[in-house]
Amino acid sequence: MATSTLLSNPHVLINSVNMSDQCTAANFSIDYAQLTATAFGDVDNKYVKGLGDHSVTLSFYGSFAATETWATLNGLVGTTTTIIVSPEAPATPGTYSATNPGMTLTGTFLASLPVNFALGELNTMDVVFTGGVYTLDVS
Amino acid sequence: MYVILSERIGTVGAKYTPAPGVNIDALIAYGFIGLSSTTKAPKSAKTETDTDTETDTKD
Repeated sequence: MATSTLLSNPHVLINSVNMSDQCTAANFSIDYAQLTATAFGDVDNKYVKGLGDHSVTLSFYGSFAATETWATLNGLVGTTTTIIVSPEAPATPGTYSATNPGMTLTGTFLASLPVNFALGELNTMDVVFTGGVYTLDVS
Repeated sequence: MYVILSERIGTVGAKYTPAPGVNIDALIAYGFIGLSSTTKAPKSAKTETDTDTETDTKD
């Protein structure tokens, strides 16, 4: 049985900019390298955690208006920034909780900004931020 | 030091304190925040007005 029903309200902060009203999908991936620690005498494989290699994939409607999607993302290409994704908007900005954690990547890198145009559709921008330090803000 | 210029950041006109890792240059370049002025406005020039009401007695 589902314990959380998120219909529409995840909250996305990119470089301190609230982009939730332009975002249609967010995939926050927390990944670590799996290092083999199996030695002679072991009868089963054992692993330990290696380097983290996290990423956030986001899809936006591609508004070119002032302080919208293009303005938020274009200045970040080739640089690093901070991204926070939470299940819903915090009641007080910047204050997260155990039931509404702020999944944070600090120093994450944006390599490219693809802009998608298609006949009869709103244009979109799909971006992938990679790397950075992952923390979970529950304070 | 910084002031918010866009509602996407917070209350317009409020002071902005950047979180760790935030790209300040991008926020300034695209008009999300601005530098708040720390210098006082210059005082207006003094203009002396002749309020002398004495009458000229040489005439």
